[in-house]
Amino acid sequence: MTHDQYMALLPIYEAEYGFSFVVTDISGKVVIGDSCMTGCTCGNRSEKLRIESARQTLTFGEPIIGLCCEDGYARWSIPLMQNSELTGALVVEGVNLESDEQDMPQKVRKAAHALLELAIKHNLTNAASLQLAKLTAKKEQNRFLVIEASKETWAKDELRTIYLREEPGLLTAIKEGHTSEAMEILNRILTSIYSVATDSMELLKSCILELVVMMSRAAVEAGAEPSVILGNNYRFITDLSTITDEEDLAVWVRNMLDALIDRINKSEAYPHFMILNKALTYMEEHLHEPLKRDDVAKHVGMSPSHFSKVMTERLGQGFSELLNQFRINRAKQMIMQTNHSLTSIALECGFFDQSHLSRTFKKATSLSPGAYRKQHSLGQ
Amino acid sequence: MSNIEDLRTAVISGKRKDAKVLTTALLEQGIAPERLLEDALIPAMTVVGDKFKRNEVFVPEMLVSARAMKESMKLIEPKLIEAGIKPKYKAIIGTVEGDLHDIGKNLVATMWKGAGFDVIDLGVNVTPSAFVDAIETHEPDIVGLSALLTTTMPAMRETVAAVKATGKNFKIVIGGAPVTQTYADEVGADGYSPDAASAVDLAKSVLAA
Ligand code: B1M
Repeated sequence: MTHDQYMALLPIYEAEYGFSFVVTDISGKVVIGDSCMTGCTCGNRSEKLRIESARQTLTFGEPIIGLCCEDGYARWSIPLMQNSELTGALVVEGVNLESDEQDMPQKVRKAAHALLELAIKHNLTNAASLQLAKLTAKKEQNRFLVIEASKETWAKDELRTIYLREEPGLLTAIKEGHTSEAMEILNRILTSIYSVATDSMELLKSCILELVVMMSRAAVEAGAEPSVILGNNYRFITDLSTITDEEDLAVWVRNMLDALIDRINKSEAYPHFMILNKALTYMEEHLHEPLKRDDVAKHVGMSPSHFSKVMTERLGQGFSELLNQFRINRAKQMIMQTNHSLTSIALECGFFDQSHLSRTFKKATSLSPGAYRKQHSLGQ
Repeated sequence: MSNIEDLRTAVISGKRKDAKVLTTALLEQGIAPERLLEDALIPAMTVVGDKFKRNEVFVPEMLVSARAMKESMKLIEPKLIEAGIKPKYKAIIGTVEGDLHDIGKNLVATMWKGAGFDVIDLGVNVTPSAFVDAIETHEPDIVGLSALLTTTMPAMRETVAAVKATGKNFKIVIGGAPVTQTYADEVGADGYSPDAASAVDLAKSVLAA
C-alpha cells in the first residue's frame, strides 16, 4: 500500500468504524501510520504478533480477532499480499474490548470484516486464497461437529443402541424423501460404526451390511422398484467382498447410499407415495368430521380430479370407499374396546346417526354393530 | 448471598469484574472451588460455544467471556492446589502451534498442580522446537499437548514426533475437544483424556506403567 493510498483510505475507515489502522512490513514493523497502542503493554513482542495475526487471518479466511496482550486489548490484522506472498499487514490494535462503549464486540467484528473488505476491494490482498481458506475452515468446522457429536454421544454406546435410536428417524427421513436429513443421520451412524468397530474390518462390513439392508427396505417402502434395488445391492455387495481397507469401504458406503436415495427420488411412485401418505393420515385424523374429497385434495395441494385419479390408480379404491372403510375400522375398534353407546360411536366415527352406522356397518361386515359387540367384546 | 448461577451468567456475558467479585464471594461462602468450576465456569464456556455455533455470538464476545473465565480461574486455582506437597513429577504442557485456545490447557495444568506435579506451562501456539527446547532444559516426566482446532491436530502429530525424537525418557499425553483416543493411538501418544479431571488419573497411570 502506498502512502497516498493510505492517506486516502484511512479517514474513510476511521469515520465509518471509529478505529484507525497502520501498515506494517513483513517483519511487523509499522511503516505507515502511528501505532494506536494506548495503554497496552506488549512492547516489542508486538511486531511478531502483528504478522502472526495476519497469518491467522490467511489461515481461516476471515479476520481472527485476538488479544494483543494480557490487558484486554484486541488486535486484528489483514494480510497484505502480492500474489500468494505475504508482504505485510494492515493492523488495528490497542482496542479496548471491555470499554464501557455500547456493543463494543459487535463494533469490533464489523470493523474487522470491513478492513478485510477494504483490502480486497483495493486489491491489496489475495482474495482468492482467502476465499479458499474460508471454505476450508467451514469444512473443518463441520468435521469438528462430527467429532464432537461422536465423542459426546456415542463414546461408550454399543452399536445396537445406536441402531435402535437412529433407525426410526432414518427410515422416516428416507420414506419422506428428506435426503439431507437422512444423510445427516447416516453420517452419525457411520461415525459411530467407525468408532466402535475401528479395528475389525469384518465387524465394520457386517454393521454396514445391516445398515444397507435396513435402508433398502425403507427405499422399497418409499416406492422404489424392488427389482432395481435388488440389482443395485447385488452389484454393490459383490464389490464389498473385495474391499480390504477402511478408506475404500467409506467410499463404497457413500456410493451405496447415494444410489439408494437416487433410486427413491427417481421412482415413479415416489411423489404420489408421499402425497397419498399425507392424504391418508389427514383422512384418519379427520374422519369424525363431514369430510369431503375436495378438502383432502386441497390439503395435499392437488386438484380434486387428479387426486381421485391417483388414489384409485395407486390404492385401487376411490375416496368415499376408503373413507368409509376407515370409519368402519374405527367403529369396530371402538365397539370392541370401549363401552361407549352406539349413538356416540356413530358420531365419533363420522356417521350421521346410529341408523347410518348400522346400515353401513352391516353392509361391510354382514353383522349389526350390536351383534359385533356381542361377538368381540372383551371379557366375553 | 451470591449464587453460582450469577457467576455463570457473568462469564457468559463477559462481565470480568462481576466474575471476580462473585468468585471471591462464593469462595468466602465456603463453596468448593471444584463446584465453581464444574457448575459455573465450564458450563458457561459450553453455552458460549453453543451460541457461537448458532451464530448468536461471535469471536469478540467469545474473547470477553474467556477473559472473564480466566479472571475467575485466577482466584480458584490457588484453592485447587494444595499447598506444601513436594512435587513428585515434573510436567511440561502447552497448546500446539497455530492454536490459541488455552482455557482447557490451563485447567489441565491446574489439576496437575493440584495433584502435586511441578508444571511448566509453555502457553499457546507452541512450536515443536519450543517443546523440544523445554524438554532438553527441564527433563520432564510427562509432556501434555492440547489442541482445540481440527486444523491444528496435524501440528500435534508433528510435535509428538519431534519430542519423541529427543530420545529422552518421558510420557506424552494429549487432549482437547477434537482429540480422541483413536487419534492418540494413531499419533503415538501414551494417553488421551477427555477432560481435565481425568487428565490427572491418566498422567498417574501412564507414569506408573
Ligand atoms: C495434555 O492433556 C490434555 C488433556 C485434556 C485436555 C487437554 C490436554 N486440553 C483440553 N483438554 C480437555 O480438558 C479440558 C477441561 O475439561 C477440556 O478443554 P476444552 O478447551 O475443550 O474446554 C474448555 C474448558 C472450555 N472450552 C474452551 O475454552 C473453548 C470454547 C470455544 C467456544 C472457543 C473459544 C473460547 C475461543 N476461540 Co475458538 N473456541 C471454540 C470453542 C468451542 C468448543 N466447543 O470447544 C472452537 C474450538 N473455536 C473455533 C474456531 C473456528 C476459532 N476459535 C478461535 C478463537 C477463539 C477465542 C480466542 C475467541 C477463544 C479462546 C480464548 C482462550 N483464551 O482460550 C479462532 C481460532 C484462533 C486460533 N488460531 O486458535 C477461530 C478460528 C474463530 C475465529 N474466526 O476467529 C471452533 C473450531 C472448529 C474447528 N475447525 O476445529 C470451535 C469448536 C468453535 C465452534 N463451535 O465453531 C478438554 O478438551
